Amino acid sequence: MFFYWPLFTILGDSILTDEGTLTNQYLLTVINDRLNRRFFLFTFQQTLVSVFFSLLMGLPGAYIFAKYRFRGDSLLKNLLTVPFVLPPIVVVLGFILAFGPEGMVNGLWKEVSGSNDPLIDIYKTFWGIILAHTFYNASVFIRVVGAGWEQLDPEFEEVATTLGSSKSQIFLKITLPRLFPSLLAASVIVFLYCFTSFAIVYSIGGIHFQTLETRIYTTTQAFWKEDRFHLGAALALIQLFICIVLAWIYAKQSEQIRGEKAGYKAIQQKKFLFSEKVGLARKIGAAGYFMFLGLIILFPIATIILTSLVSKDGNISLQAYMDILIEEHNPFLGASPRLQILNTLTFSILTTIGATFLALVAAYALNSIGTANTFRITSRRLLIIFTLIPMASSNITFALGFLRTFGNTLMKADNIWISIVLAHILVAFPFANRSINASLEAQNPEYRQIAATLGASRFETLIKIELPLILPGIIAAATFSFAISMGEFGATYFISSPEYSTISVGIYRFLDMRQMQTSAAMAVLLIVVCVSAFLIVERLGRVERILG
Amino acid sequence: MGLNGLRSSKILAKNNRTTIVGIIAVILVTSILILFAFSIFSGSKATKLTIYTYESLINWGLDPKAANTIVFDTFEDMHGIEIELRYFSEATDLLTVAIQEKNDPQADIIIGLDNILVFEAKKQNLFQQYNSSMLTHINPELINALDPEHYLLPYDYGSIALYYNAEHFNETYGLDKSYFDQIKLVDLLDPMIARELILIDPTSSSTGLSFFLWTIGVCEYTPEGQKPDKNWQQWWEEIDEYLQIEASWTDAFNAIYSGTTNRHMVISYATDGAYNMLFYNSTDLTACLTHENGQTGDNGYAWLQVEGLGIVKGTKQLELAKKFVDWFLGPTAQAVLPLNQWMYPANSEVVLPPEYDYAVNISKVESLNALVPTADIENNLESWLDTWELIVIGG
Repeated sequence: MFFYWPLFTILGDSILTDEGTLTNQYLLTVINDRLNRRFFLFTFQQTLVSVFFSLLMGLPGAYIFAKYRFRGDSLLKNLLTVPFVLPPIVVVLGFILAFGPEGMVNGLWKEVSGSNDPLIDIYKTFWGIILAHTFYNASVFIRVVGAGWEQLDPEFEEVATTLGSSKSQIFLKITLPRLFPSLLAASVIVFLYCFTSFAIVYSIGGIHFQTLETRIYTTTQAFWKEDRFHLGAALALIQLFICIVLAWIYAKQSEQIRGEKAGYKAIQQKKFLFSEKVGLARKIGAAGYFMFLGLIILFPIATIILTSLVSKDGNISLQAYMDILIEEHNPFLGASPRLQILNTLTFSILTTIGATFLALVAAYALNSIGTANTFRITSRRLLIIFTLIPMASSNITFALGFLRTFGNTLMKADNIWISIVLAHILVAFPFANRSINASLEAQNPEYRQIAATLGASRFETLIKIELPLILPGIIAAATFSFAISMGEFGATYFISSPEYSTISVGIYRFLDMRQMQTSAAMAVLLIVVCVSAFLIVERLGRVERILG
Repeated sequence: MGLNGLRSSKILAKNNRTTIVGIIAVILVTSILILFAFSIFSGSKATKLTIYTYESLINWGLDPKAANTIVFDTFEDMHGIEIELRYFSEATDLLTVAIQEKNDPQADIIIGLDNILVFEAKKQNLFQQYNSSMLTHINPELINALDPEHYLLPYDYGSIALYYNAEHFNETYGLDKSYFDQIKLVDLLDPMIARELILIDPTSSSTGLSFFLWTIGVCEYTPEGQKPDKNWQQWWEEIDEYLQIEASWTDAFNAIYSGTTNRHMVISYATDGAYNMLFYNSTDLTACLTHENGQTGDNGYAWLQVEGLGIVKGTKQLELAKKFVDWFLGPTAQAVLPLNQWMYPANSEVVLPPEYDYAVNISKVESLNALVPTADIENNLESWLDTWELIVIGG
């Protein structure tokens, strides 16, 4: 498939010289490079710290959502998950607009305190990266661990209480171990995202803070190095290896989670948060927590929306929206924003069709293998891993692979769009696949058998019974693919040309040129699309299934 | 499991669900059709000349549209063809892409590689020679500074300079023009000044690269009496402490104008004083050089950047490309450069506008390039840049 060819090219690039002889020189050069080693370490550092803080931020939320209910709880849960479905470039923009040197917070601070020094300086700092990552990923913990917690049968805890254990003992010895699978799953997802994070590290980190992912990019852009593609490929190979290992862990883990769910679901009695039974301290705690979280998570988004509406002289205007929809040609972009929007829509539609279709095929293949015997179980696991790898590996690695594989044919100016669409399909495919998969698995095979006994052909059964039943899964897959494609930045940035760039690239370029309002306006478009997509999928009840 | 299946079918039994799906499907199909129709009908059949260049090409004047019309549209009309311009962020990107496309070049002409990037460009065999008739109007020194073999032909030149806010430095530190008329490279290491400096990454920007060569030129190649007591690595090590570095000239230039960074000196071009006069009618921002050579003011040292355009090897539009090169080096196009490109036109027949009274007088500048043998640049650039990375990023 299209994914594996570029992957093999990268493999080839990293171990073969231009003449075709096998060599480990690139790997060695890359590993021995002091800068690379330093940044490799840094990648792990920032990822672990990000995961830790996301966990810290998300866990209380998981607890609250699992144990209590209150008015607007699902709305709140959705709001808090919004960042995760936003493309990273929008996250970056939001952060810069809210917390950056010219941002809202610092602007207010300047007014209030009169000093010129910024209150918060997140640009080109370690904590800036962590903050952005946490904002993006805390919701994963809230949802995944929350869902897992929700389903834990409270019997165990109740028994322990009657036997006299203290609250903390119960938590440490009973609840935590049983939460472990979902904790691990959430951690692995967040780890993967932070590990391969490109947009956030690239924009907020600056040259002093680079990760493996951004190093791959900068290495291949080093115009003065002859072997830059080989070196970049070597780096990509290392990253790929790590990601595959993590994806494997995740695959094992989600089998386990599903196993647990397949057991009996406990119906938890969630306490109503604002009833008298719940202590005041808890109420205040919960409210405080959500306000804080809301601030960090929703403030940047609100800032984007605000910025898009305020023109340079401080008046409220829709000028930016007019600009992006009407302006013909912006010489700095080499293309018009309008064209970018059109392109993005085209690519996204094509991606949706492609990814959903592929996902359908793959899901059926997976399903038919079944779990009858060990061979099947292993090949099933392998197939799952294969489909997961695109999700796990980085967009830059894709783009690099594409560039080198299809360099001469697909990278021709006219054909670049094919590369972009393919890259998008590959990024979206795992999500689409898992969504459809979940539907297929939930389906009762008996229906098929009943239909057969009633005389329906395989094809008829497919169209009239199975497809409608898994339709929610298909819709979810399509919606996900659409949103993902619309927001994709890393690979598109790498591959795109001015005529074939997308909204996300536009946001970045406008940000680069300090045209904040226009950038914000385009970001708002993306926010609207992603949030809508997310809400559709949420309605269909698919979110937890995708993540865990 | 069975329960779930039944539940979803119940959900689907509702009419809304199917209608929604139906509507979505119709929208999708229609949009696809419209988009395809668009792409089929918008493609024109005219002969195309594809030009790659950096995004700031003649786009910094008062009326970029007019400038582009004069240079590109007029040529299109004259020959009944279409020009396809593809912009890149920096000249270094141009080089990267050109090398990538080497075996199947998509561009006919590349505008923007300078006298440092020329070495790699020639090593990679990207261009073909062209002895344009316009070369007679260009100072031979310029031609030789870029490429005596005429693979790349010079279209403009300028000197890099330190562009700073004179008002700010005077008010805050009491440093006036007399200070800057004698400022040396090592003076920039003074924390007070280093904190005001915005530098540009030489690995991602040709302006940054030129300044990098400036530091190397001053620290390694000036005669004994003028050489500072630090080598270039030490200079960068010391400035690293207060470093603010941007990825491109556009970023850096915007930074000083937007005031976001609270720094008031940036690596830019000697003509920027003229730019400031034209746009802001003020002399608060002005440019200066460094003065290790013992001279003052405009007679100091600077690194000269000569920019060139070349015909890509393998182009299918050779005759048209040649005509364009002649046009671009000719009086009409070159006259657009001073106020839109803010570089000196290569064609010596162009008269400079009055705003250039506020620019550094380029004829007085002592060029550092002359001190650094081109062979040295060719052989050492890679290791220089690698070392730089270690010092600045690894530091």
